[in-house]
Amino acid sequence: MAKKILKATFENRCNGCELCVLEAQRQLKRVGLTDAPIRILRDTSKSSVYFHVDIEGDINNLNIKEIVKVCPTAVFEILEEEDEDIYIG
Amino acid sequence: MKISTSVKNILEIDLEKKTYQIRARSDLQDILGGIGLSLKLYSEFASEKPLILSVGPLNGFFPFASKTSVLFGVKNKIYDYYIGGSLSSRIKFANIDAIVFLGRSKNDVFIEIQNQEVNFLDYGVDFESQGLPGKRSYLEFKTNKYLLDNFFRFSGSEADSILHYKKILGIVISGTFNFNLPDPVEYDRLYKEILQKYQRLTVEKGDFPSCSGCPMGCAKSNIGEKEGSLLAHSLVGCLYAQNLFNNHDLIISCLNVLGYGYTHEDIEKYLQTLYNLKKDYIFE
Repeated sequence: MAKKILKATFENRCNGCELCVLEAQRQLKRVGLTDAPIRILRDTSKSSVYFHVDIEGDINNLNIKEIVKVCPTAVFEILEEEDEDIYIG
Repeated sequence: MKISTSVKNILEIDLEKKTYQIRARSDLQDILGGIGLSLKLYSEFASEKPLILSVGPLNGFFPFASKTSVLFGVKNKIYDYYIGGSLSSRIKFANIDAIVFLGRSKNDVFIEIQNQEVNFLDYGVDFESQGLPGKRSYLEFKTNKYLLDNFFRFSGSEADSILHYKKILGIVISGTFNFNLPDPVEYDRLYKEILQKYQRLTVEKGDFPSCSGCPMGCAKSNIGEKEGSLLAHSLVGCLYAQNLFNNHDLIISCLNVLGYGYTHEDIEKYLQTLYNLKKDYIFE
């Protein structure tokens, strides 16, 4: 059976709004940044502003369609991955 | 943790003595936040030339409540600025309502705030490695101006001048508290209702870095703001979302879902008090 995985395929589009972080936290019934399954990290090594989207594996236990939907710059996509645990070769 | 709805947490930082204290003040409960809170604190600390950063009850919790109030006085005039970026959410997630910088440091100093603890760091420290990644916001003097999160700035040079005068080279603040709400389902519904109203903003979507909690990425986000509605700047919302922040019914719903018991009458009374307080000062 294929498992749905959230991926920040278009990370370069991220504008740092953190709506994805807050959406994930709301699904976990809390507001804040600690233990968030997504983190937005600012890359300060360059003169312009870039963002890195750091995703924890347990994000996929949440409603990831809502996380895709809340992003204003379409950073995310949902990929399908074969679940190795039930694969019979 | 629960939201502190009955007190305002004020972090007072004495730059000369390099000391600090946090006060949980129930006497400020009737003041919404932002410009109202800053002005009240200014009236208490005027002789110590305070620089005050403050937020409102919606910052960090609702879309477009993405600014921080920055207030100070120079030569009998009050300067009242609003800056974007992620600062307001970090202050809120540190469970702080206002930070008051008192006096002037003897030497150039970087200030690191993590929740309600303060460290005074000397010139030469690797400032950008301070704070907690993903949970921090930093204001830093770079070349000839102060930049917040490497992008956002004040709308006037006087804010840069006061930071320079106080010998503050940078401020990094990290907030690590998570908050639990009495009705998370209703909160989520209201959050999404507001987010869907982005077309009522008086600014176009862009591809610039956005303030925390705002999807717009607008071309004006990095400039900061000066004047605007008293209610919007008490909450401390974005000027371009004034249409939303002046909707009293909507604002009361937002405040109530967070556990604040404000009523329409309370808001009207607060605005009248603030209007009267403002009359005592000359605003630039």
